[in-house]
Amino acid sequence: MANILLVDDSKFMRALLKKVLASSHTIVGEAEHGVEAVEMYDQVSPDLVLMDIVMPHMDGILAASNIMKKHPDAKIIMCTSVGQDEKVKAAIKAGARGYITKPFQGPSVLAEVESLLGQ
Amino acid sequence: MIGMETLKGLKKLGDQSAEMAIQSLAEMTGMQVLMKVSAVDLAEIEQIPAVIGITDDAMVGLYVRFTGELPGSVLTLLSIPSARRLADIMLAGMEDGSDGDSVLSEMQQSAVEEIGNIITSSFIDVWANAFNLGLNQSPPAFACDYVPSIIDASLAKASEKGDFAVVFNSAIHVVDQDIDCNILVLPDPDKMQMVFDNFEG
Repeated sequence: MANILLVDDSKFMRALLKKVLASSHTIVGEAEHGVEAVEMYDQVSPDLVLMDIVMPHMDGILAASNIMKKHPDAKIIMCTSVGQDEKVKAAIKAGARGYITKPFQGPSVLAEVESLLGQ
Repeated sequence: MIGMETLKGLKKLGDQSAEMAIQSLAEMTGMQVLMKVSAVDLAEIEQIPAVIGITDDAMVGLYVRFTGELPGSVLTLLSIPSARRLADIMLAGMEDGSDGDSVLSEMQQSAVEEIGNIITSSFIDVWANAFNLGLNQSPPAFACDYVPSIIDASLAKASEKGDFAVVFNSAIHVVDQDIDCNILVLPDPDKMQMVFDNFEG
């Protein structure tokens, strides 16, 4: 059972991810934007972060980059929508180690999470 | 003057975008989704509600701005009952936090905003690929108002507000759920010449 930090400006998406992950993992924090995510990462030291890309205040790419500067071993999965290929490339360059595309199904989220946790 | 090739190209673009949006909505809801209308019109901005056939009732509007070389906005319009039904489908098995007073609870609104977000991504993906452009989208904004006010608000951030707009209108229906939804794509009027040039190439 891993400790997971959820980062998404959508309350619905956070609730949906929590529903998918809660039976096999612990949600140790929820952040609504990148600034909050960077601060919360320091506080809760999660095993893995699920991070939205398009968010107010600080987007997921910059947040991932900021987390990776301080925590090079951080495991971050980006949550993207179709049509964000360039942003996914930028996120991978920033240090993200996987991505899931919305709309997603629960099993695909779990598979990506388990795959990264197993590395 | 818009040429025949441009008209054909615009219609094809509208159809492809609508198909992609239908596919995304079907994946999100697990329901069958059908296209009722896919049309492209050049309309006076104040005539857009009449062109899409919605003039009277207050509706839920989800507005997402996209930026880049071809900026514009995508507006997803739902009747209030349709928005509630759609939110309930999305929230099946989850706490919706209904308080009984507002049009939608905070969680219902968030679920509906996510639909606007993903529908917009579908449109942007088709447009970005068609013109080989990098386009970025903003977080969705929610409104519950009369349609002319929602359209005004969605055009307020256009780079130049003209009198006319090219309106891509897709009306879609979620089968067996009595949910209807109009999706409008409103490219910024002053940037449409690039699209016309591309088709007339």
